[in-house]
Amino acid sequence: MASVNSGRVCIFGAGGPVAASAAQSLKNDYELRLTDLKDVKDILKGEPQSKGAPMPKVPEPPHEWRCVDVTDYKQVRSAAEGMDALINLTVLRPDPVLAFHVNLIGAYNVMKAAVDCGITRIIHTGPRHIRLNHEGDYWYDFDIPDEAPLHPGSDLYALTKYLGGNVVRVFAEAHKLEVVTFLYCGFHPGDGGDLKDGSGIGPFFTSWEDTGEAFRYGLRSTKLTQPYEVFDIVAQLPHGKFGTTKAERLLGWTPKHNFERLYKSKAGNAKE
Amino acid sequence: MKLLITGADNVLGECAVRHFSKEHEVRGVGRETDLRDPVVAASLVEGVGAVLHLDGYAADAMQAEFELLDMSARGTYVLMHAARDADVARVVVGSTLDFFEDYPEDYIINEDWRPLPKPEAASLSPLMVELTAREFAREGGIEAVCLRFGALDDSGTLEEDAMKAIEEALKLKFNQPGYRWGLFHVHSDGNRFASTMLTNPLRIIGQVD
Repeated sequence: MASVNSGRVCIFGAGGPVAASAAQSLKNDYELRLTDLKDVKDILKGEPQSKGAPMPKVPEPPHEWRCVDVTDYKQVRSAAEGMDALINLTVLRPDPVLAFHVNLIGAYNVMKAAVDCGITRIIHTGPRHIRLNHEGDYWYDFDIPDEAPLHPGSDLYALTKYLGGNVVRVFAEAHKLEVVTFLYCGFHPGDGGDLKDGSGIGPFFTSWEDTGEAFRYGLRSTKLTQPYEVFDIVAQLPHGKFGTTKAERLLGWTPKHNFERLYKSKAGNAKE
Repeated sequence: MKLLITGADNVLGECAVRHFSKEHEVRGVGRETDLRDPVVAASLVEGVGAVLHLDGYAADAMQAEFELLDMSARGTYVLMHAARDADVARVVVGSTLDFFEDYPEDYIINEDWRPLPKPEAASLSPLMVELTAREFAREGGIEAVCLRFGALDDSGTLEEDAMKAIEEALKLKFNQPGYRWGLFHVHSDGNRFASTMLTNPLRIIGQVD
């Protein structure tokens, strides 16, 4: 198994907060090619995706920023050239045309480029939706394993990412790659940010800090058992719905921020 | 009944237009009609009783990968949305048994077997159609029956068997509450493909005894 402990890593969708967190965690051990449709300086003129969400930083050598349209195969292929691993964090949610282009065809392009460039370790990402307003979602279930099939319904974002994930899986299995897929739902700063003690938290939240750290483990794992391995990247929350057992076992990743003060009552927090 | 048939310019769609025009009012559209346009899709399904979405059956491998994937996935998404909004009762989806080429030849493959498309746009394209249609059906508000055909000749699915299967897919009743999606293999040679849906009112073509 070709774990990637050092070397060159290309991140697609580097302008988003998950990528900003990933880059922060990887920058000391890897040479990063950060790519996004927009230039980082333009991205930094905007606001964070949500309060407390990390923003990308202007990279300093040996890291670099490159403008890449993930829907253009030539650009993706060029960006993947010479890399040891690829991380696909591109996502587009509300646009009914671009959601298909980025979330489905972008995933196809990244996987095709990986195969063409002989890159075997890829980290793909997508949403683990909790509630999609139809009977096939997992809203009322517990003990939901990482491998539980996604049921996106007709939700544009969920469906297009689901289709992209299926494409990635087909590539992974056909070419015997080592694809790690991370699923997320919601994020908070590790300390819970401005949220009040006892204000509650949903069953699938992750700290921005832990989110970034998971990528180091994803690149280095030597224990993957299948070409396409799915992990819920979630805090250790006591709801009994989702868990970190698989990520701990195969990646060695354990979240450090678990939002206790948010789900404990005032009395519970006072005991701390 | 008014029928919308997509993929009217591929071999399955051409056959379906010929066959169903005898007893139905058929509106056939080929790839010159862009199903990805919501206005176009809405006008196509207006007043239609059922849609035969056969566009995904024969992906054109010569077409650019981008277009192929986008037309399959987004075209189906927009069409299913329009059909659901227009209260179309039933969508029959045409797909392919090519998904199973990589299983050993002596395996008998029914619908319980996972499709193994190749990592190529032309092979992934019908899977995108299937998954998109299935998710709409799973969510509710519309029913869909997917039929996977072999090549339309005596090595795969005979035309008469294919048309018979579509006729029955149009009539199929979902007897078990909770299901709005049906999936059937339609092959004229029972030595390779089979169906698990033995109790279903749909006559299974190529069923293994």
